[in-house]
Amino acid sequence: MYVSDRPLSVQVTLRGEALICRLVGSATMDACDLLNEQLARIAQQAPKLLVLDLSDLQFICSLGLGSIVAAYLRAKRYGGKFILAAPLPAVAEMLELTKLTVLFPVSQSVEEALGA
Amino acid sequence: MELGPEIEASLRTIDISNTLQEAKKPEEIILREVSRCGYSEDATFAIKLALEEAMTNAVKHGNGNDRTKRITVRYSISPEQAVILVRDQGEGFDPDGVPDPTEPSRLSLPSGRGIMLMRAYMTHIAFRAGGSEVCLIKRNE
Repeated sequence: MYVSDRPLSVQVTLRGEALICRLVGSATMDACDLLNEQLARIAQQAPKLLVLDLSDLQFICSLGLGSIVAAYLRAKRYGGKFILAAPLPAVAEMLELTKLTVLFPVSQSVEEALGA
Repeated sequence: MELGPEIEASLRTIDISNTLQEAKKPEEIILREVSRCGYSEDATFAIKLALEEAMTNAVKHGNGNDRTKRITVRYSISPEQAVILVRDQGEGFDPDGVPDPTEPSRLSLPSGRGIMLMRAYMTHIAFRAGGSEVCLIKRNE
């Protein structure tokens, strides 16, 4: 039975000098402008470490991958560290396929990312 | 690429306006058909992804975000295969001229991965009508 997308939401928590940004739901084509805006707003805080927690991200399209790349570039510009954490298998496969894993590190868990 | 008369005759058509929000409507309809025909979770993910990429390309690149333009989606979903055609009203493009987004110099570009993903996740894709229509085929294996 087909289940419609869960709308994308972004939950942000601060842990010491790290900012953890948890993406929940589906980063579909119609949600990615908002994702980009939210990630740009987060970058204004210039956290020393930005962790994108993908453990509850069910789907992502190329626009969503573009938003993640843009977030990485912003962090790089202000000298912050950027790590993706805990992608589900389907999303992890896309990251491998597009070779984005060459661009930034992908941790198995948020805890591992925080210890990096 | 010819689809054959049987498939051509079975195609249903959805015509939508040129926005990403509107583009979700055919996706919902097609994915319900895919589910009804018993496709696996992986195949459903692949079809959804390829369809999102095709629709994004149509809205943003083919129709250039022009809200006066339209997108036509034709589809035929059977238990054996899903055939989806997405056509925009743009001037088309040369798919062979699209650079590989996994080249080291292109990795940090935020865009340009759509066609590569369609190719990777579908059984077959072909561009028709000078690039203004993409045909996506996924076999239910």
